[in-house]
Amino acid sequence: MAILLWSLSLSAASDFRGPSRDANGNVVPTPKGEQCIRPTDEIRRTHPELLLHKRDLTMHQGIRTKDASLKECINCHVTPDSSGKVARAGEPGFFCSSCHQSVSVKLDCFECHSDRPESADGERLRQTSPHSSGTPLVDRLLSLSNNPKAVSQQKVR
Amino acid sequence: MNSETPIDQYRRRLLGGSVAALAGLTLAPGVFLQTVQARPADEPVSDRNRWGLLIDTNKCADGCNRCVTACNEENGLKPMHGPTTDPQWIRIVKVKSKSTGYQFQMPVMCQHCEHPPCVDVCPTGASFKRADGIVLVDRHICIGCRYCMMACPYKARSLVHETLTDQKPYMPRGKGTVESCTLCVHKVDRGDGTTACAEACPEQAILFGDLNDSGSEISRRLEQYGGRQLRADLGLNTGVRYQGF
Repeated sequence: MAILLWSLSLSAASDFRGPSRDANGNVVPTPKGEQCIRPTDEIRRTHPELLLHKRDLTMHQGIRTKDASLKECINCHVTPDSSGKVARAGEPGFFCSSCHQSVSVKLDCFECHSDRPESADGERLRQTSPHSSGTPLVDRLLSLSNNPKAVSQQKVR
Repeated sequence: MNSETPIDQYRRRLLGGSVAALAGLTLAPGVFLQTVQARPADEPVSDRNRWGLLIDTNKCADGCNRCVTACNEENGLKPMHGPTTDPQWIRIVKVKSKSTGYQFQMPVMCQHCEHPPCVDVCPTGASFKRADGIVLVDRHICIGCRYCMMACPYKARSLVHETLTDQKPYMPRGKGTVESCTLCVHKVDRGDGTTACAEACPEQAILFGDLNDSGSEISRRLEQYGGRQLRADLGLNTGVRYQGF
């Protein structure tokens, strides 16, 4: 049983971390995290239901756990590509679009929802600087010193 | 007599269900009486709290609109095509007495009514009141018909006319849906215990708090000095109260 579990987790992990192209040849940005909230084959099938369920819980009951939260998906999955560029929603390199375009499913989440990660890093990504060193910490400090408001927010949290 | 139509059966079920739900609600405050305000992220909001604002118009400085700009900044409202179509969550209303000439101003936002007319008229159920008294629009099901804008006696709601970009991650907003003050629901759920407008007011004219908690600052001030509802005659029992006029 342990071996079975181990092999399953290994295959899931390798699947998850795998190449930056999916089976259809779409470029998929490398996620920040180590492990998705569900195994890859499950999340591929059930993410619409998960998101829909969580949507209603958050909206009507104020439940804001990280599990199945669209915001957390974005925080993890929207990352810069090798050239440092972050794709916007609708562009082929954007995490959701990469698959949705190839299966012709129109995605309107991002007409309202932000397609950028939250936090100071997110703000930084929005205006990708050619002089950025690429290190998140340095970026963060830079954005803090450029933006006094961010400093005050930082203190609050 | 025992030949009940399906409609009767439905009514019976519905009535039975609501009685059961009411019983649950009345039990809950007793059970959770001792809990602290910070709510765990996985716990649904409840009617133990009733969030509201207390606005002191004596402190509201003439010509100041810091609450409006803070609201816009916090929620990502940007000027687009002018005041006729731009969404506005807080309006500064200037009031002048014709007989004495005395004038003052006050911020007016969604009053978070206990009996919200916007919820009554919404054909899709998008306009709703959370258990903790915050009146919101579920944009996922809002069709942008604007009935709620017509029904609101405070003119608190706006329709988004333009395609938006770069919304705040915590405040999704989009074209074709109606919106209004959310009482900074993202901050409330985070446990900040304040709103952007209350934080920004240099005169501390806006106070956020729990109207159900008799020990809260807002309840104590209301108890001591009283407070007025705008259009109290409508019997909406607003969550936003005013002092000083």
